[in-house]
Amino acid sequence: MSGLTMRHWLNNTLLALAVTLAGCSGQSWQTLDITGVMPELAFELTYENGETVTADQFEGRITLLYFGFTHCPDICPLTLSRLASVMRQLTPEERSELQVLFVSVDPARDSPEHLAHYTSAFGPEFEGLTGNQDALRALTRRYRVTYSYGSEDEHGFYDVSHSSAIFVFDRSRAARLVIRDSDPDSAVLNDLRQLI
Amino acid sequence: MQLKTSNMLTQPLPEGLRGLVAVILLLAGASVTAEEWSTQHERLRVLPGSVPAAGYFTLENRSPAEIELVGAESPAYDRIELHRSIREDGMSRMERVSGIELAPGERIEFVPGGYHLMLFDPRQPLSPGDQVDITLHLESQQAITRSFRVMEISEQ
Repeated sequence: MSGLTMRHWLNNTLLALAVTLAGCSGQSWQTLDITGVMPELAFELTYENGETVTADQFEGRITLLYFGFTHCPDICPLTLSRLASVMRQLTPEERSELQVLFVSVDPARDSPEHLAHYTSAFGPEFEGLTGNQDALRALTRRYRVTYSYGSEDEHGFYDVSHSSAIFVFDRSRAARLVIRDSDPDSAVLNDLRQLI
Repeated sequence: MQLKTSNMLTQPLPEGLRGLVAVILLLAGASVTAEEWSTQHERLRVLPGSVPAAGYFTLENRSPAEIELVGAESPAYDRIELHRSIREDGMSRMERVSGIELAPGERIEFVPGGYHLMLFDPRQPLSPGDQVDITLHLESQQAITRSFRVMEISEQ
């Protein structure tokens, strides 16, 4: 068997094995299952209260990680409010097992204090984080996403383009799912309940 | 009848007169609406701090000619722009739009994730349930003012 054919065979076998194992676990995921594909949650960022925090301090709850910025009037509030609406369909006990980490990739405009105010509008489970460019690049690169700043208009406003994905980590910080724009609320609810 | 309401409504009016103007506008708006263009579901999502807000509504061109929405203004904000959110290849971004053309009979929806008004620098604090007057401007110099309701933040 040539090298290329061997690799294809190996890939196909691994894929078949992964699919079989997924079926065996008895869980069916409706959002994107990334178990084993992405590294565990790790970061060093600034929390809403201005203190430096690391990911291990958020262990013990299911974490939903979303990148955005507060000067985003449409997509970010839409995403966060959709999450809030899904979470309202859970019981208070289930909800207490979740936390949404909104990581602002716009530290120039999003101070920790402002983030605290912003996230509180969506619910107590929503928390804000930001950091310097090194910390933000490290985190986005870790999950293979990116962000970039648009040019300033005549009023000094600039847009920030960012990933629309929501990453979901389990209680031990393992990366488990990606929620995409195309995933309906019912899929998100189904998967969150399975993780809880 | 074409009614230019923009100048009247950007000035604050005394209470009693405001009520009278509102009634006149309602009647005037109704006749302008029936002949020319109409809006529905006018709502704003206002966020904490002075960050830009988003405005949503449905706009329908009921005239026999093409119309173009070119801007908006409000006594409650320093400036309003037309924007469109774009989600492609897993990324989200926004683009400013200078005008939106509607053919006769055409309808467009300004909804979360798509076209929206972007309202900069609020002049007053706003809360869910408040009503905000916004004047929509067409390229043809026509304008109508609508009352936009401030939504609950988590409203879809």
